[in-house]
Amino acid sequence: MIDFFLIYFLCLLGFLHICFSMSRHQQQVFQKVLQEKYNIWYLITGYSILVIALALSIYQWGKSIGICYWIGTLSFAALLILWLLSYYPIHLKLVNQFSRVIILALLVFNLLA
Amino acid sequence: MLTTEPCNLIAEESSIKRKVKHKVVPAKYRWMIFYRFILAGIGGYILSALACVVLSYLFKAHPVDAVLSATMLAFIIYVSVFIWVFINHSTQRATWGVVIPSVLLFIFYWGLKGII
Amino acid sequence: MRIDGNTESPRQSMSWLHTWASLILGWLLYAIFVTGTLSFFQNEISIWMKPELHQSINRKDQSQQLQSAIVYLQQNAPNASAWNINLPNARSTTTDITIRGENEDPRARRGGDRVILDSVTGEKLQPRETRGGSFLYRFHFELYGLPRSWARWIVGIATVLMFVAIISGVITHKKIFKDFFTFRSGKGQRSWLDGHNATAVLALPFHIMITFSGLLLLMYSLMPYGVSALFPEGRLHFLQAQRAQLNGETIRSVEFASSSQKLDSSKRNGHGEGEKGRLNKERSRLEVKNVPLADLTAMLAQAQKLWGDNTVASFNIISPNRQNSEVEIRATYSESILNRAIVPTLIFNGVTGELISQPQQLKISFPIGIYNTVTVLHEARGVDLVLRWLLFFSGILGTIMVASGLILWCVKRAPQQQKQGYKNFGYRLVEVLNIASISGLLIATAGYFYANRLIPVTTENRSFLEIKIFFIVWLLTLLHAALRPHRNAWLEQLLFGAILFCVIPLLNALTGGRVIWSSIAEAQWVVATFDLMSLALGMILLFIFYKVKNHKVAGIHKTKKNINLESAAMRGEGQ
Repeated sequence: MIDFFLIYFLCLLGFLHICFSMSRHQQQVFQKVLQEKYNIWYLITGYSILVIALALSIYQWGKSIGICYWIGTLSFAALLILWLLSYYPIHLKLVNQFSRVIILALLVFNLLA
Repeated sequence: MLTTEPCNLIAEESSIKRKVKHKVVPAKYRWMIFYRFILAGIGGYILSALACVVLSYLFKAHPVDAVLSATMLAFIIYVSVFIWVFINHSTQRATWGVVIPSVLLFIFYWGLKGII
Repeated sequence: MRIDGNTESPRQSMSWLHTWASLILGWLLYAIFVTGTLSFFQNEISIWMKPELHQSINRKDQSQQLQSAIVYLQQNAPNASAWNINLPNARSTTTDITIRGENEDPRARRGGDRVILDSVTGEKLQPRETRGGSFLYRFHFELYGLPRSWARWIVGIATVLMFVAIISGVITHKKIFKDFFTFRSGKGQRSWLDGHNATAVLALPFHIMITFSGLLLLMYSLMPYGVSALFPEGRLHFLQAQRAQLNGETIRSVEFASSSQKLDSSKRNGHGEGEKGRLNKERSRLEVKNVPLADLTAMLAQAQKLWGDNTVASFNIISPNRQNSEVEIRATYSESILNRAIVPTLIFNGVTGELISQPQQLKISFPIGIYNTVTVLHEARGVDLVLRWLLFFSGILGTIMVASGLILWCVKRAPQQQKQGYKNFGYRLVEVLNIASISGLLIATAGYFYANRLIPVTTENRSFLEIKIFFIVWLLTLLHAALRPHRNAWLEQLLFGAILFCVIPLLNALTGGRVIWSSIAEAQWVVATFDLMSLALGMILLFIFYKVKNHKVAGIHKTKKNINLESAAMRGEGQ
């Protein structure tokens, strides 16, 4: 289960970054449109984190099942962001920080256990 | 109950005349739509079934793989033909796009069956 | 498809196609999605529907459970040709045994006498006669009451239309990346479209997989021409050739249908070792002497050590108490979905206890790999619980996608219908069918569960009666939707459904099942999650009920008081 949560929060963080790279959502979350350079930065980091999630998933469960887990988790990470954006957009900043902490904690936990 | 249901309770009471624009749908249009569904549904199925057989015969050196691949491709061809029939503006072009490949595939199938 | 015949862009024509291809069989598709999603947990549903089994808990460790099963079998069926023991696991808390009679094929897939044992006490349990979750599963692709091939064709056509809907939907969705995270709530038609797009796009890989694999699973009915072209002797022949290829044997040519040594008549009956098995049986009947069975718990320990987290699932003991007995031990989860439902297996000699063989690596070709992957995911064979729940929730997203699409069709046309002052027949038909399927099917499913508990155990043909009630309730929801005004019909059915589902845990406790706090305390999640999910569904329906109740639609909500005031005002002023 720990592994699933790790993949989930990685996907969440990745999608969050991709979301932050779009000016429409920047307006909703940060209440202002960020500079151009942040768009590219967020987009690249977002996709990179998703790829890391995929790699970890494959490492944990093997190629075929790992890819399935990743694709399945993507749907529900995106769903959470969709819901929050619609009703509590400002809280997404918090979710951003929260996910990072959780991921770090889970990684440490995994390495120790 | 199923046919009409007044959704504005004061329709009779209102003295404002309502301009109700009844769109008359020409019969020709309805037939065209019906024809396209038949062309896509049945014509597309025939095309994909022929493709399935022809592809299987073409790769019969590996029969199991050939049959599976042919069947999977046949389904994809079916759906693609369906889309094609409706994405085309001209009904005539849509018809030829289904009929000509079907005929060609049928000839191919006949030939392959004779050879095999 | 424009009536005036003008050219339209691909996006516009695909938008038209998407609307109509989805609508034609949309209600059937919704039913397929609901029953299919529930089928991911058909085992759990079946167990809930057999409250006699709830007393069994997975409390003892596996060697004790195995021992009590063996004790029962040695006492009651010592001369069977095979014993199949399924130990309790996360999805089942009873020990399920299948006994193959003396003259039966020990490796047959179907048949045999089933006995269910309590995993704690070892006593035999007698569940009530019910189809359980498998009714929903069968309905999913074979409907009910129709000739099998007709039903598969109808479901197949619906699946093709679904595939067409997916492709046309993707083509027509212009801002598929830009609108990925977009959901604007409270904006009427815009919100419905956003919701429909969101549920469709977010689980798009799942939808494509489930639709394509749905077609493939029905391929022997829908597109058998490839198989019959190269394997004229039929599907069984094709499957044998496939198995041969997986085992690495080369299949030389297509003409082996009539003349090959490999696929000779002894394999025709579809069982791998028909000939050999029969010879074995002959031999074993001659040897009347009972050879004691080796220590199974040692084999169990060996398997547990090898497989770690992947718990031992089942024992298949062939020719027990005889010279030639073999023991096959299977794990619970498969390690790769490229292998169709093949779980790790160990085979031991039943007399000496030594390990005979481990299964060899299969040669999986690319087409077989694709077929296996999508079909295994579709059926969720051998997948662990987390992936199963992911598939289940994706199925729910798909169900919401179909439902929101159906409702969107009505919402889009509502202003025009209102302007007309009356509702077209087509529009009214869609409205009624929407209610009857979206909320009606859910109420019918609840009705099925209630029938399961309320029909007395000793009634004859009770499983048939349960199914009849399912359909009667569904028909009643259709009538209700047709006779009541639209908004009232929705509200009444939503509320009724909410109450029905919320009361299910109570129904469970009152009609012989394990009450929810006990099932949670004993970690009998099979039963507990059913109760919890019913409660959740009830809450969701209640939430939707309140949303619909408080929703103000322009112009339609005129109370009697308002009408009288308005008409009085108009009479006064209009002169």
